[in-house]
Amino acid sequence: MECREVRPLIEAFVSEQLLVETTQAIVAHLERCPGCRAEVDGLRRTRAAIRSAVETSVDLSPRAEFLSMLTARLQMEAARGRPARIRRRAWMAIAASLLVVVASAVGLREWSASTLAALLRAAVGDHQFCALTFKLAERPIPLAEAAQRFGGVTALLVGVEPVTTTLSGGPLGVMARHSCVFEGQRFVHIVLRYKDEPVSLLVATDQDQLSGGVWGIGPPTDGTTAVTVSEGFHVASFRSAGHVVFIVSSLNDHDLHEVATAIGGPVSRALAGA
Amino acid sequence: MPHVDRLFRLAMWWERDRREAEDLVQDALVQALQSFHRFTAGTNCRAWLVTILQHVRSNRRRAATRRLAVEYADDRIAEHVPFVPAVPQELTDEDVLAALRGIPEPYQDIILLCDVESLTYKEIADALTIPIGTVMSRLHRGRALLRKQLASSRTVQIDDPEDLASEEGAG
Repeated sequence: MECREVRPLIEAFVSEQLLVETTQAIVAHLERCPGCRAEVDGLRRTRAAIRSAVETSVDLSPRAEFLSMLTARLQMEAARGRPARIRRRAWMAIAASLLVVVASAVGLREWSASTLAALLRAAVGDHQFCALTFKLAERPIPLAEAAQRFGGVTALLVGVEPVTTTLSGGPLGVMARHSCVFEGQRFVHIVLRYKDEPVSLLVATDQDQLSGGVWGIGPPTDGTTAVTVSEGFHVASFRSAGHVVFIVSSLNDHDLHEVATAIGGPVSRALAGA
Repeated sequence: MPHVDRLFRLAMWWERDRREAEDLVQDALVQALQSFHRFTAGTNCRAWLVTILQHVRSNRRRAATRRLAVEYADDRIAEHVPFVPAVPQELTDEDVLAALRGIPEPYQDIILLCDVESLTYKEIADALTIPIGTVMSRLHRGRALLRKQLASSRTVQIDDPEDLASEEGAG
């Protein structure tokens, strides 16, 4: 990319609104262009300053009395004349959003009702909507930030790297790491590139010890990786240390198997806490 | 209660009056409680709450006056941001808040929802009921105006001339 292509995208780049591939192209440009780098730094500095100024302003902060009164009012509203089912659901939900029951304690364990097949579809959808088209409803959280907020699997995978010595088709690089939500299911999402194709490594907690399907047990080894086709994508998948791992791409079976073998071992070791 | 804290700061910024902001937040959260069945699980809860806050705020204002103000501001700004100065090296909270207050309200809204609430362009478009293209153009113009405001209140440190030269040639 050149400066005239990068400049109009800087706002969206800093706001993390671009496709992973476009983001990588801009990152490559910034490495060699001090002018655009200064623009990005200036915008990031301004954004951080605005956020900090608003979040710490005493003039903008709510009174403690108001918060107490508000809590009482919401409890009263929740208890007032509504059908019991709605009232309970609504109160529990609003309480969750206000009192942050949902955030760190629940973390990545949001999909207890899922089946493996549904989880597979969600993983494929996440790859399609997050890595290829960036149409997610919620902005992905950088994995380092998610590791601090959620811990667990995010912290285990924040530094995992593929073993690339076994690959025959060229380098296998990590393009992005984040945690994202697709159709209510949260994944650790590591986007890799192999043979100029984006490859998504998606990991979710195997909360219910789901069973069935063609999933392999443990990290893939040569010749043993199960590869399925879903929504036009090839998917290698396995279960390891209480987690389900999907590797999704348009690569053919052979190439996907190579990638799965290269990344599967390190991922399994990381999930085991090794 | 982080959601409430953030919502209140946004309401306080908009209303500039503590009583008005408290009424606004309370009305919005009661409405959220009553319409929680419309919330889509797995989506951004804060964006949903901000959308309700904005709707309640809009209902409390006279719609015609607000629309005219937005259209006027867009046209005016489009013609008067020919030069975008560098961002000052040091930014104090006072400078930043004063500069933000110094730009037209529609641009303040977009910048706050983007920078402070971390909403996506689509979430901002939904919250303000404007097209996503308008979000992007207002963000662009708002940034330029903000930098102009910041530069007028602080001494701008000009970058090394060699860096400026390379800025043109690196692409």
